[in-house]
Amino acid sequence: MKIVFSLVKMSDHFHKIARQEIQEELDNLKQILLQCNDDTDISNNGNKIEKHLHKIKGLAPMMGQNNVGEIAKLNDAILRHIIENGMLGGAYQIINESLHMMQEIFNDTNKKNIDEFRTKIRNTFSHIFNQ
Amino acid sequence: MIADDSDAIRMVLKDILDIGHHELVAEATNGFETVEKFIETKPDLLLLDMAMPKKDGINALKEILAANINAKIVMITASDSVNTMTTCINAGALAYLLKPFNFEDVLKTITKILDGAKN
Repeated sequence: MKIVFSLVKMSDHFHKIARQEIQEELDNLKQILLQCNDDTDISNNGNKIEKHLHKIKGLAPMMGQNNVGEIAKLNDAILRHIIENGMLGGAYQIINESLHMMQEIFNDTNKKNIDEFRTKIRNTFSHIFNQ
Repeated sequence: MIADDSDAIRMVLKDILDIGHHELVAEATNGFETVEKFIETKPDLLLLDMAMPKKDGINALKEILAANINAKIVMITASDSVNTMTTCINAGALAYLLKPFNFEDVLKTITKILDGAKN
């Protein structure tokens, strides 16, 4: 049964469609962020940004893009915090850096180490991640 | 029945149902369509994504349960917060699957619910 499930997971057709959907989410996220200039704008667009991160977080790991999924998951937590508590200093910079990192990883066949970036996000918003 | 706005997720779920020899009677890509098709096709079980356009999964679930108190619904979401899980179960979902999901867990959950045991 495990072999059958692996085949399902790795199906070329699934991979192709999942890739298209994640690319679309990244593109939509980019469009929103292009309209943002600071932490206040991020807060004002919190729900829209979170929606795209949420989709990426759920789908990317299913097509083997674990690092993209993890960055989306960290940013999803930041956005949920913003939606519940309001503007968060430093969010604009981290979310933009995260988008660039996800785009780079998603379009690069070489495995990228995200340890340093993960630590940066966690340290910047330790009050969110150390709860 | 499968309700998710992601073609990729619906594709995976269809494959899982197929492996488990379960017939897929309907698919939906938004909350409104989900309620309509559920009422029209009366599936034995609905795999329902929480974050869908037009009407979210929780509101679709509530409408379906208002129309059919015996509806068997499993929520699917990428949100791992306890609040979300509690909301789903309190609203009447029989189980909760977290994306990225484990394929075997999905089939086990479906089988368990269709066999009549509450997850």
